[in-house]
Amino acid sequence: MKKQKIEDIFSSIENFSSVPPPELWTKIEEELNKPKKKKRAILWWSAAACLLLGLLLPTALHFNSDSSIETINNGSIEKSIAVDENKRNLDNNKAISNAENSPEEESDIVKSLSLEKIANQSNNSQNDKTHRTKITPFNSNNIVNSSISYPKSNKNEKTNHTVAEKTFITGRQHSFNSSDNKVLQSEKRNQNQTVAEKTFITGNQHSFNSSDNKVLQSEKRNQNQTVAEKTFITGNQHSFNSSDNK
Amino acid sequence: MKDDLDIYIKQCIQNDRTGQLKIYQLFSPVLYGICLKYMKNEDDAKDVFQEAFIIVFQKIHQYKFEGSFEGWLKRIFINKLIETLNKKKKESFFLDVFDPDTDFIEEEELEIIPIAQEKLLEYIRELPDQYRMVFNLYVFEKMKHREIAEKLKISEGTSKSNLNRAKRILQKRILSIKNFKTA
Repeated sequence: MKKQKIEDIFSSIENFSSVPPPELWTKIEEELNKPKKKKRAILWWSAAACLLLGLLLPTALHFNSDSSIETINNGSIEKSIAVDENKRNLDNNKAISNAENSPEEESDIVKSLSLEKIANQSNNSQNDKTHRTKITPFNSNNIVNSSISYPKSNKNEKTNHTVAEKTFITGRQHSFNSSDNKVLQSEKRNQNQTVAEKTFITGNQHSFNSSDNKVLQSEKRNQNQTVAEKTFITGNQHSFNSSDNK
Repeated sequence: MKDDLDIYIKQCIQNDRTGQLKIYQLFSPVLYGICLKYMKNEDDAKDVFQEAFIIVFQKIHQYKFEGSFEGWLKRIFINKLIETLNKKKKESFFLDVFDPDTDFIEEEELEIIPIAQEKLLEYIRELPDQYRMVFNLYVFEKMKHREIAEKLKISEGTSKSNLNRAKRILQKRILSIKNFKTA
């Protein structure tokens, strides 16, 4: 007798077909008519969702706006705190730079700082003092360029200004700018603005350039300003340049 | 015939009921036969048949007039049948652990006995759901174990073991008929 595998036995029903009961077509027809209703339902649901969104959005925006105001307020406080901290850091940096200088320089610095404070106090009393100081970094040739600028509003008001610039540099390329006691004293007496700049340069091949001409010109216009500049240069190849409006 | 079929398909795309009826009349016997092979009872087969035909008419616009339309229809039906089985599997988890000692015994060859198609269909429908599905996909759809594993979300080994177990059950059934006849 012939033998065969199960798969071969069942392969006879591979293309098995059977006529489905007739009611199945009617059911399918009914189902095919339904999707239109589903589409309508989807439309209704989407419309309802839009309406809900329309109602929820304004409330959500309202709450969001409140929270944003709070955050803005917090941000401003933080900013002000940060500004105060920056000021403190600047003061600390000044102190550190002073500490790094030699005792002689320190004494001069202390003096000049105290004088500067006095000058500031006197200037504050006049209510027309604006203090802007730009400290430019020295270059490799030990050249210190300082620039002093005044706001335009002060020129218009013809107020007195005091601008002091100090640069303390330690190490090989030392340069130092400070306001002189004498100059400040004369400033006190005259109650004029004083722009004083002192530069102490130690080491070899020191040179000093000051860009106070513009400042002095502006001061001339005000006819109340005194610019005194003294430069003390120690070491080899000293050069001295000073310009005085007096 | 092919031109007529294309016309019916185009009618179906336009949601024309006469075209849909023509397609139904042409392919429903084969497709209903598939449903009967894959489902345990006739009621389940009817439900799947109905749902699958609705999908056919809803997705007929996706048919690109390339390849066999009957093949396209069968794919939709088989996917629907697999989906139904996977749903059932979730409801009643059938743990089937692959056992290499018993699952890879050499298949015994049987003497040819004339068995009616209805009887063979009955034997298949008596198989557990997963065995039946794997057996149908392997024997009738000529799918490989890797494909079956992907479709049924089982491992390849499980597919192989399911097939072997299904074969053994069917073998016993056929042998019992033979023994009954000889007795």
